[in-house]
Amino acid sequence: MNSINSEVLHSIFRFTAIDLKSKSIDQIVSDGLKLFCELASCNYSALFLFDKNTFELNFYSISNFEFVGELNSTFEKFTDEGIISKAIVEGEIVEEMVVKNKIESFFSIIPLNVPNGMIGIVIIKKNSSLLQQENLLFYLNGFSINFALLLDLSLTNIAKEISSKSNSSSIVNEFERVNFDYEFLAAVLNSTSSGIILIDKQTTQIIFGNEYALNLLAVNSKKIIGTKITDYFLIHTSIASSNKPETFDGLIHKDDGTLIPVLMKESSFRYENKTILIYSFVDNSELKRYESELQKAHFLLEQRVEVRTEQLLDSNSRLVQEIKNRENAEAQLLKFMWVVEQNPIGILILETNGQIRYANKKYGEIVGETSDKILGHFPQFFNLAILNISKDNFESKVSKGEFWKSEILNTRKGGEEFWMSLYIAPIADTRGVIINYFVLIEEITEKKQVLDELVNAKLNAEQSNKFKSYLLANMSHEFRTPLISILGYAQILENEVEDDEHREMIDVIKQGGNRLLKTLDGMLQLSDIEARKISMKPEKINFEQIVDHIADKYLDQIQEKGIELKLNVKFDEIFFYSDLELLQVCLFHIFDNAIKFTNSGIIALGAENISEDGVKKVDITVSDTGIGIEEEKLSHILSAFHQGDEGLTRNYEGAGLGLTISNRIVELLDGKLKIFSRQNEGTKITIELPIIPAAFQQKLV
Amino acid sequence: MTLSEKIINRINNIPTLPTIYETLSNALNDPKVSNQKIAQIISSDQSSAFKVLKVANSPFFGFRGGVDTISQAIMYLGTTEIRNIVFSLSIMKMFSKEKKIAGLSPIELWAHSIGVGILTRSIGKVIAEPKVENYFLAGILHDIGKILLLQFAHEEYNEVIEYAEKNNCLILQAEQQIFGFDHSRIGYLLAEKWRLPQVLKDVILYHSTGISNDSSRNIVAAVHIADISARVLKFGFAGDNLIPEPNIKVWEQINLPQSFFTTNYDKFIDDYNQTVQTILVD
Amino acid sequence: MGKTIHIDSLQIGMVLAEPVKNKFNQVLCSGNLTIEDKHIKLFKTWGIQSISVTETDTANSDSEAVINEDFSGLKKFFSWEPRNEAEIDLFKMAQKRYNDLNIWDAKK
Repeated sequence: MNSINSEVLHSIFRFTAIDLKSKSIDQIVSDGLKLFCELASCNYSALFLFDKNTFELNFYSISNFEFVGELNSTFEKFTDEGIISKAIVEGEIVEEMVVKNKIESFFSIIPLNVPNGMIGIVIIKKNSSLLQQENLLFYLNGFSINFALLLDLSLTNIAKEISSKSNSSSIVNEFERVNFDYEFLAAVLNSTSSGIILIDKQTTQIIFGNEYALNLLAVNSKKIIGTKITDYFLIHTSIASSNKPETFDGLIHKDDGTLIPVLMKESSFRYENKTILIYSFVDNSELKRYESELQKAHFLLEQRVEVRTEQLLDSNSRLVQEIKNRENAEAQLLKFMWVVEQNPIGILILETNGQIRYANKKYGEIVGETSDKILGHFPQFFNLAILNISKDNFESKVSKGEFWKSEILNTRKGGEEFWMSLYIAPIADTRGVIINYFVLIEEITEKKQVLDELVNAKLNAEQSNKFKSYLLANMSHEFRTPLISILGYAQILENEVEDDEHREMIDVIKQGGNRLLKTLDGMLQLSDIEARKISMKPEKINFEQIVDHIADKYLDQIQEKGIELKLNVKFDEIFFYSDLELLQVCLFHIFDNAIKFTNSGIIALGAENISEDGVKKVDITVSDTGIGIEEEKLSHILSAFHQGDEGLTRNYEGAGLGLTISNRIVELLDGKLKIFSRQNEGTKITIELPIIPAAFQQKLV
Repeated sequence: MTLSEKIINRINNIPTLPTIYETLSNALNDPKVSNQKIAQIISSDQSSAFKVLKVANSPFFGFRGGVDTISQAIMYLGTTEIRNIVFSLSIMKMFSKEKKIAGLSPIELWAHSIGVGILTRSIGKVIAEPKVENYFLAGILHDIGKILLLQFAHEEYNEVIEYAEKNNCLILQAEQQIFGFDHSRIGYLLAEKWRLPQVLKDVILYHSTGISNDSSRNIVAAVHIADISARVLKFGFAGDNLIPEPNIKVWEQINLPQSFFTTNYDKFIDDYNQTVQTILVD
Repeated sequence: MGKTIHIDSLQIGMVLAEPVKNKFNQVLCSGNLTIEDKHIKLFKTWGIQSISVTETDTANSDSEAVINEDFSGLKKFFSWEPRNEAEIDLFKMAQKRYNDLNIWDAKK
């Protein structure tokens, strides 16, 4: 005990916050160990001192003296096993477990560098194998604070001692001691596994950085002194002052541009008028990287899930579309199959060798076979058809993809003969190779019969038409010759007969004969008109010429009857194309009637070009002041001829066939004939003609 | 050849606009392109997509861990904001490798720019600006000229920083003294070359005075105030330690709510610390 | 409720509002204690920075003085005076940051 330098002990345990002056050194060390024990939450702590010069190792003090016995046996065990010397040589904390009576105890053996060639050994018996990390961090911080205080107090003491002693050698000693204290402090701080930086708040300069900090910041211990924390840290404060967390995320930036995330803690202590800031931190990049990797994995997973979901949705919608398409196609096919199956035409699909692959219902009906005798068999017409045609013809047509077509007289199963039409077409694959034949079969027996009848009827009609023409053509001879004889002899008889009664009879014969002759002439003229239809000649009509002809023919009669003829025509302005001869005949008939039924007054002839609804026409009007036509007759008068025999009944004999012929001519000339009439007032007949009849248009152009 | 000509000559070799920005901008301008397609474009580079997602998930953008995929991020923040985040990240990736010179490193400058971005966007939100999606990007880009000078004229820039230090003046004034032009002009050259939108060009050119024309008046004023505030809060390092006096006219443009700075102080620090960690730490 | 003050502002005669605890939450000193000279020394050696005391006028004015003094250190970075409410607010924020940062300083 005597060899222990009280100053050394003093320097070790001053950090324990015990009033140094009021107690003995023993008391101080004992109290210090107790506090130490409390801070680290352990059973006891004890101090040994090792003198590097003499290699003496001595017990100095223990926090709880009741454990001295246990400590002694444990210490002996440790020295025997070389654990103590290991701690001394390597200068590192050694953790040990001791099993005694099946009870596990945990020890920390902490070597401390102390001045004057001494090494302090603190042995702590702990409640568990590990000190809590949080406690340790604090513990280290506490050390740093108190060691700084220690340093300060030492300086104060030195100052005091310097003033009390005037011995220069002792001053040197004191400085040495202070230096050792600093070394000691640095050794403790350097042994911790977190970075510690001390800053003088006044100058804001770094006054100390431990080894861990120097390594992390990549600077050496000399260079860091006097620099600023902002030279190394991008972030060195936490958020809001109000609820400052214990630790926060700081960020170191190195000169080479790399960034190191750290877990940081910030505190400070004051002594005298100085504030020292303590920044302790640990490298957090591993943890951050791990977190980031985890997040990345999560992101990739989510991304993959999203992509997969999209793919699934996409393929799902494609599937739905495909199903829809297939359903549509199937429905289409079904419809198509129904059309084929129910078709009133027999349909076959043949293999290239002629075997039936498919036959619809109608085919069975046509050939009178049941379906089991059809599929896979050869159609009985096939050879027949091939026999009936030249093989070359079939092949050349079919190979070009055309239908080969024929009509065949076939025999049904019962022996009944029937006609059928046969169409054969090849079905080729995409390369153009024929893989099947497509055959259409239609029963045409009935069709053929109807066609025969039609041909017969046509022949009959043509014969009767010929007969009619013949009849008409011969009329002049067969009717006119006897009629002329009758009229001629009636004329002669009239001259010979003297009796008035007989003369009247002859007059009746003459009148009847004349009317018959006139009717006959009209009918001949009509047939002549029909014939002329084919040979109509369009020409530009000179209306003045027409009027001249009319005047030549009728002027005498008109004057005889005392009727006035009035012309309302500006010849220069009349312009149209038509068949001159037909038009003249038409106008003659109309004038015939007008003169015949007019006894006094005026007959007027007018003509003018008009435009109706953008269509250019010419209107020719003949009006008279004659007896007019009864209303009920008016509606029939033009259709007389079309009603056949009726047109010749006596009711209309007065009008004769004149109007009928006129109407027919106007129709041929593409025009319209209109009659306006009132009984006892007169008649007005208008002929509307196109400027150029449609039938002529092409000829003229 | 004068020094400034030499430097401008060198800067003519500035890199082209990150292709992702152009691709995305074209896609955004095409009404036929769906959000899903845009998400695909961003996701094609997985590591940057992951970072975009991290940023979108940061409390600053308002979604604490709620965004799992790029499509969701687009849904919450809109295509323009996401494009701008992608753009910000790719620009920082382009330049941040440069070494530290004198007292200024690109990392510190980017940290300053992130701080300005955060403050600009926060200001944009309280002045009821309807479209704040350019505000963060404006902060990121406002000092792009300094970044360029650091990269292409770092020896000369050393001089600038020393001059600012010695004369206790703004880096802007030191640049003018030594180069005859300042970083806003260099930044503007880059913005021209990259054909950035006019508002961003105005921000780069006018942020130190805070005054611009109609269309960019709000955003330029916001960056001006944010730049000064970021210096007050010691967000990163802009090259000098001075806090310039705000242009008094800017306060007419930017009408902040009462106690805006002190009320949001905690949030600024929190957002800054987190965003810097998220963006700058790989 | 008490007011939290810095250890340097702690004066003899003040009364503790809350017990003083170490970081393990162990009570070092019970509340309602009237501060003597030795207590102050003890707190300092324990490394305690702030203490909660019952409110008195003296304590108030002292803590204000500390903040004002700190703020004066900022002046060299502001070459201008606040002209409106927003700028005053900006100054307040600077002050807050100064107190939180501990180091509010120029780069080397």
